Amino acid sequence: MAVTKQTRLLAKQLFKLSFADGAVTSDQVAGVLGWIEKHQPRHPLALLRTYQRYIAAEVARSRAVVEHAGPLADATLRLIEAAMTRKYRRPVAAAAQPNAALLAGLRIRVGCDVYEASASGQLAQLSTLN
Amino acid sequence: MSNVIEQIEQQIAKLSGKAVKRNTGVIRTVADGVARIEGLSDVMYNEMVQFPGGAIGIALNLEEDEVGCVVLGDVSALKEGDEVSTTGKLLSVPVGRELLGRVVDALGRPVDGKGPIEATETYPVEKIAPGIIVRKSVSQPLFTGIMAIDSMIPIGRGQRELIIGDRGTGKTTICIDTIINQARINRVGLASGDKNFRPVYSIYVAVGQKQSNIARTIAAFEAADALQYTILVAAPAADNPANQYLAPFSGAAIGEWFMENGLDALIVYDDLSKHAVAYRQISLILKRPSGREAYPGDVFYLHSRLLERSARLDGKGSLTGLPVIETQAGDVSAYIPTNVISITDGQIFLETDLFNQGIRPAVSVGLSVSRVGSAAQIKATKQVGGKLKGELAQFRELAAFAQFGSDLDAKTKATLDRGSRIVELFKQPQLNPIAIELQCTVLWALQKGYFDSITVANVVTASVSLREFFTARKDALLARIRTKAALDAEIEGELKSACDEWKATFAAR
Amino acid sequence: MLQPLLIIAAVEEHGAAASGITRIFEDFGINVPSIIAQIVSFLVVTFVLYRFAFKPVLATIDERQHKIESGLKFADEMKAKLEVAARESAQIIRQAQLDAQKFIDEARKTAKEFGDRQQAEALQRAADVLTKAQQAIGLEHKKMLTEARAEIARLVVATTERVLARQLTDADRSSYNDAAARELTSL
Repeated sequence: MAVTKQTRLLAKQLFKLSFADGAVTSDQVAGVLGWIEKHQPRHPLALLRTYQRYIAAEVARSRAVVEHAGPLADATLRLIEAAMTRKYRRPVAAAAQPNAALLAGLRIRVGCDVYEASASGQLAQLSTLN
Repeated sequence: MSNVIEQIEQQIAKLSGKAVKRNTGVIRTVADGVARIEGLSDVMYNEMVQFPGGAIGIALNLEEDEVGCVVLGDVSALKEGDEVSTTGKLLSVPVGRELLGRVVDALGRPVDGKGPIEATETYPVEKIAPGIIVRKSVSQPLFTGIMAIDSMIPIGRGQRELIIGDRGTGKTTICIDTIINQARINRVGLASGDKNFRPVYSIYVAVGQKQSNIARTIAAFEAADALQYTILVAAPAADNPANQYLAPFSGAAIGEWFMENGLDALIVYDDLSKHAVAYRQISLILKRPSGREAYPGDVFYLHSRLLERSARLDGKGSLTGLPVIETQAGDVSAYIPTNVISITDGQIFLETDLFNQGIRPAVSVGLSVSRVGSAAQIKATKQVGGKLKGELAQFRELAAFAQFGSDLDAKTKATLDRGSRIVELFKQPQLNPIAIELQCTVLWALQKGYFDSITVANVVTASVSLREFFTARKDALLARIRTKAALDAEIEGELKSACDEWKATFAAR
Repeated sequence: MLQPLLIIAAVEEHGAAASGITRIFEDFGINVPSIIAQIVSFLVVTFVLYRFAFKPVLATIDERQHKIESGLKFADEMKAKLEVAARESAQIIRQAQLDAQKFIDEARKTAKEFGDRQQAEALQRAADVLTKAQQAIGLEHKKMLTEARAEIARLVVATTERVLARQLTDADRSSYNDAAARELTSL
């Protein structure tokens, strides 16, 4: 489904309105959604989908998803959180997510960036080295 | 086998326990060889992007919240939601001598089944052309082996000479002949042990051609033993447009390596019309605004930045460019032809009419020009061929008039006779380049009237016989002309006696 | 008029001697007038003959003489020319033989050179075919090795994955994770 330029612009504007103190807050988002419900702009589905994408991307930027195989100490998670917060200069919350396919090690995803130190990653590297 | 195990062990040893950082994105749409990717926040313009399944793409459109990538490879395996990661490398190709004799695709990967290429260096595909300061003017000749071109439209090393004409007029043939002639000169020059000899390495970029044509070209090079000095970059018609768009730039990068390393190279872009069409396709799919003939606005920049990379560098080597443009019904004033004509240092115009009259190569002397090549012409050719262009022009003019009148004065008749003999003399079969010293000899014989008593129909036979006579019997004289590159009184005397000898044997037949 | 006068005068002058001469005249039957007439007619005949008979005959004879002479001369000349021609033709034949010899020599030389070149080319081609075949074999070998390597590597990876998944204890994983975390946070 092609998204028209107007819809995209509107979604962008709504996305900008969703910020409070430099971060997306649920209050602001609820307000925006209420506005959409009330005013019924054109192509509401496309608008909502685009808006959702923007919000999801923004939320992903301040979340560190830590995939791990085997047990992960809470202290380690906090350590990662602190390191990422320092690195991106914005509060980053870490969330653990078990992934047995890694065999051992971690894979951290913050927004677009992926940091990987895992056994499966190394093995994949070996098979592509040829 | 132990070897194999060892190598694997080495690879395992090389594996670092280091963590890696990747910048990733997610495919939103894939269509017509273009993927639109969300994410990739750190991607650079023209950066290589890794798709799942080993395909590579280049980021061409960096937009506010998505990236347009052309995929170089199999698109059918890609789907929405696939993860894509940046490689941190601008698109680059392997370069170096290791590529000689090989056929590679637009990314420098071998496609000839002769095993991997052991190149150690890579050059970026897109590179800014050398500036004014580092350049040097063209002064060394590059012989095509085609008499009509070498004597009237000479090409110098570092020049860009456009070859333009309708389809089926012998554009590719001229290019192949030129490459074969370089190989021949290289063989002779390297065998002579001359320290000042500079070999010319050739790069043939086939854009949008049929696979069968490319195979035929390779076979022609192999038959002439020219493949060892030649690199083929193939982006056939069946390849996706991104590869066709990149192939000339990859070829230029490969050629630049020779130029930067003090060597001389020749690059043939065959052809840039199809390149422009491929670029138009990509641009339209990327939704860039289109202009005249639906080409994007930067199609001039596309070709100028490509052709400007051909240059002669001070203290280094040179890269000579021979772009090819196919016209429609001889229309040189179409968009792409005018663009490329204005970028290059001259053009060789091939005419369908001449071709059909049997004048092959069908070089139209009136419309062809070389703007810088005369500085690179050797003295011997200037001595014998200096007036040819004028004589032929006079001939064309008079021939048009002579059709009306039957009674001609002696001077007109002489001009017509001379002109028709020159036209005959310039006929040359394909894949048969003539050495410059032989060209000089034949033209000298023409200027001294050795062909005047031979009927026009027999001039081709006579010139073949003269060349055979000289190659078989007067090798030393030819070698002297080659090394001296000029005709002095002594050489002319020997030429005269040799030509007299030939004339006696030829007339006796 | 004159004749009778002369006769009268002679008779008168030589009255005495007349008898002797006259007798001789008479004895021989010479009649002065008729002899004079004969002389005159003889002269006339002579003149006529000379004019109309001898002259053309002489001219014809002269002409014929001339013709014969020139014919002889021509014959002489021809003879000389023939000699020269014979000499020349001999010379030409000799020259032609020399030339022919030269051509044959040259042709032989060219043929030899051509043959040598062909032979060298054939040898070269044979060597080329050989090297190409060797190269092809080498390439094939290399390709096989590469494939084998890839296959072995794949097997190694697959086995390692299986083994690791089964054999790694939680403690191993935990220590690996800690190390990875340190690595990642220092990146």
